[in-house]
Amino acid sequence: MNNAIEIEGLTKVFNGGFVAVDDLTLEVERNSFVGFLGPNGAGKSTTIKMLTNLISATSGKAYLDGVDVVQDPKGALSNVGVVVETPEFYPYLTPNGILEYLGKLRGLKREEIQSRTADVLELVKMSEESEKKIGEFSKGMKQRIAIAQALMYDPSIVILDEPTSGLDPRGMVEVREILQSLKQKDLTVFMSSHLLNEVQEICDNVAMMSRGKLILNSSVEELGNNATGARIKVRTMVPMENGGLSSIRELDFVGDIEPRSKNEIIVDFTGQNGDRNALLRAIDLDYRVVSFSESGNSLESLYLSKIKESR
Amino acid sequence: MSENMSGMNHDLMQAGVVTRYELEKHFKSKGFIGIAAVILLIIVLMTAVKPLLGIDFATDPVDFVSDYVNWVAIIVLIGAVAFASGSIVSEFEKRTGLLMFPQPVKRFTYLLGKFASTMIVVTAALALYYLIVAVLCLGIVGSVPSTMLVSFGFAVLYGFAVCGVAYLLSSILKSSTGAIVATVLLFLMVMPILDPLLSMAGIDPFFLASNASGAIGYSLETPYPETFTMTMPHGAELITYIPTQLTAAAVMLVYGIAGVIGSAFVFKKRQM
Repeated sequence: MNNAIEIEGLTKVFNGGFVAVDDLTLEVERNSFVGFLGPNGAGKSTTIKMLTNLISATSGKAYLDGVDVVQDPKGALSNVGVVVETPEFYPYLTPNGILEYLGKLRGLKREEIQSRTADVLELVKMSEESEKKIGEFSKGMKQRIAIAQALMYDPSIVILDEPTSGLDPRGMVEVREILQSLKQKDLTVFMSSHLLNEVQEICDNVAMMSRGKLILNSSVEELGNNATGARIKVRTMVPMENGGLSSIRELDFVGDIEPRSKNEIIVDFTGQNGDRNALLRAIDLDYRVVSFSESGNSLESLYLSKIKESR
Repeated sequence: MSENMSGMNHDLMQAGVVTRYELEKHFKSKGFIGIAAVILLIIVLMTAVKPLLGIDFATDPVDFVSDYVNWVAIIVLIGAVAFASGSIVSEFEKRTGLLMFPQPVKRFTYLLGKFASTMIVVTAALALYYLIVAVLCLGIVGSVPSTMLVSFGFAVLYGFAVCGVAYLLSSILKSSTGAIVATVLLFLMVMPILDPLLSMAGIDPFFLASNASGAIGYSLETPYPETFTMTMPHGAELITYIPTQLTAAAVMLVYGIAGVIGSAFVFKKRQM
């Protein structure tokens, strides 16, 4: 088995019949950085929880480094670092204490634990807090310790479930910087997120889920090449009537128009730069354009259209 | 790393690590202060208040120790509530399981390590209590009954039984509070109510842990007492069922082992 992660027909049906993950098949190549993308409730976290022994699969198989996580979770996770959501720590322990605890569970020797603890705390910029009780830490600091513990054992695979979720903007930037630095390491990273810009910024490949099914699996570069559109937000001085917008809808390079208020719309734009000018002039003619901006990039348009298609 | 360690040895090594850190958690917890305070309170009330009220201490060492041993079941219950009831459920409730369960450690190994730490703390608390009582008995009465050691053995077995059941409840229920309430209700209300009712109906309640816990006090007596019948003033007969030491030990072991196995089964299946 050459792939770092292989998922075959993985399915999770919760009590009550809700199908959270529906016959998912996915392969993650070694040393790739894969973004596992999808809206809330798509089944990303459920998939990751099945991969990491937090919940059991209803059917299907999942292999980490060639070891079946359903049959032998201990063996499958022996070379894997995991951060699921924002985990909590025993509040009486310090970062050094929890890393020592987890290091001992993995059978590391004292000297190894000490040197690796220093390295990973340095990487996540938490060296100065190494002897403070984790109970006093903010969510962002805890998340950095969570990433540190995932990297401590020099794993070949790192699985991250929405690592920036719930963090403030500064915390998000800090965690993304740490994730960027992982690209220099000999690692396979599988990271779920519902934030498109995050995946686009950090990952090389994207696997997209919606309603429990895989709807797209491609490289970020390829996606960018295929996605030509944009979402343009336009504010006008004159209120826009729905009927009046029909002439704009008829333009070749206009997809959907989403009214935000009487004076604001978002246009799914699929044309080239020259067409942009034509679009704005058409709106300006009847409604007097006050301002315009791109509310999302081409990948976002593609993402939204894929999600829409899957429903 | 661990290539030269066999699977079971590696599991045991991991269980030992879990025990060591769980012990640290217990010793730094409010529960530890709580059980120490309860032991101190019982000792102070039983020892200091009697002379203040003009009540003489028993002159027979067995009678002296019996007064204190009556409280052992309460100490065990407080120990179970403090160190067992929240042990499994808190990993789910407080989300520490998100950190611990994706580690390459079997859930049974976690359970084994946690249960060992609980038994160590509960046994240490009981040993401290018996030691203080022995010192007091030696100082006040002049000698210590040799049967105290047997009584201590039954106290530890009762601790095993109560903690085993508390672990099972902790694996099943969704909150620490629920697990604590269920443990207390079971051992402080349900069983103590059923015990005399079954006796009145002529049914030997040997299978109740509360009945088996009687061996903690009975073991102090020489010879060990037997089941007897009392005739009430209105002519009815009431049988006091006294479990034999063998039966009491077996019942306590069954509760403890069934509790731990049941807990392991539920814990393994439980979803985060």
